[in-house]
Amino acid sequence: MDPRFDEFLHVPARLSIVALLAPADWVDFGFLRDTIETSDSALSKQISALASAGYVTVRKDTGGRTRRTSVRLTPEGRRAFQRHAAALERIVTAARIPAPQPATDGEPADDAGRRPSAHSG
Amino acid sequence: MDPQDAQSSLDTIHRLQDRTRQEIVRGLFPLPYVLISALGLFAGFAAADLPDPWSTAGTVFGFTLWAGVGIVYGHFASVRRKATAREAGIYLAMMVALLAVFGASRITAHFWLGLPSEGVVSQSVVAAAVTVAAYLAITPLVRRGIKATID
Repeated sequence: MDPRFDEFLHVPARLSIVALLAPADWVDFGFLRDTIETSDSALSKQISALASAGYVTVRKDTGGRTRRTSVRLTPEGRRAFQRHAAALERIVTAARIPAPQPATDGEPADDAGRRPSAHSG
Repeated sequence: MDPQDAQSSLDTIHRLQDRTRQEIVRGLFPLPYVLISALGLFAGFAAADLPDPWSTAGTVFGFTLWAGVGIVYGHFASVRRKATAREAGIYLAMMVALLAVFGASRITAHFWLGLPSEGVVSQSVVAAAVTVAAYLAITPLVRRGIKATID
């Protein structure tokens, strides 16, 4: 497995959150919840996990009658996301490269894939 | 990690990033914002022909309304991002263009239409109306330009 593959980030809910945060600065909690189609408590749990890992920052604005919670990727979170996305790209790309064909006439190929000449000796 | 699972994850990432970008674009020049800011623009430019201190008061009120409604809408958007240099350049170009339209319209109103410099149908009032029409016309272009800068 690619060392840059982040098992922590690859949890579907967390990956979705980080993907939504990547193009923006601050994103409202409600937008994340509605887009991922999850509950407040489930989203809070994942955001807390991401915050504990240092990947996101949470801000709560208490001005006025409503409380507004916003989330933002930290620089470390952004780097981790980019590394993980690059690791996924490599996995996909590696699967597209055809494997070298094995020898089919019973003669073993050398390290360079060459077979012994029929007229050797 | 199965390559198909990896591809599925990448597709999800791209889809969700696009969703955020769509939300950013949706917050650019919504209709209520455009109408209120157009009103501020008209008040700011039309006040030029008023006697002082009404000229100053009208100009300050108008342009404060124009800028202020943008700040308020930006603050309450569900997805926020820092303006890039390119985006600031687009807004600056828009302001310069609107100032040019106002200036050219006022000159036309004076020399071509012979309008007075005071009254209900003064040079500034007509020029302000033309400038607001130009603002409404170029808003979709500015929106498209800013959308292109969102990566």
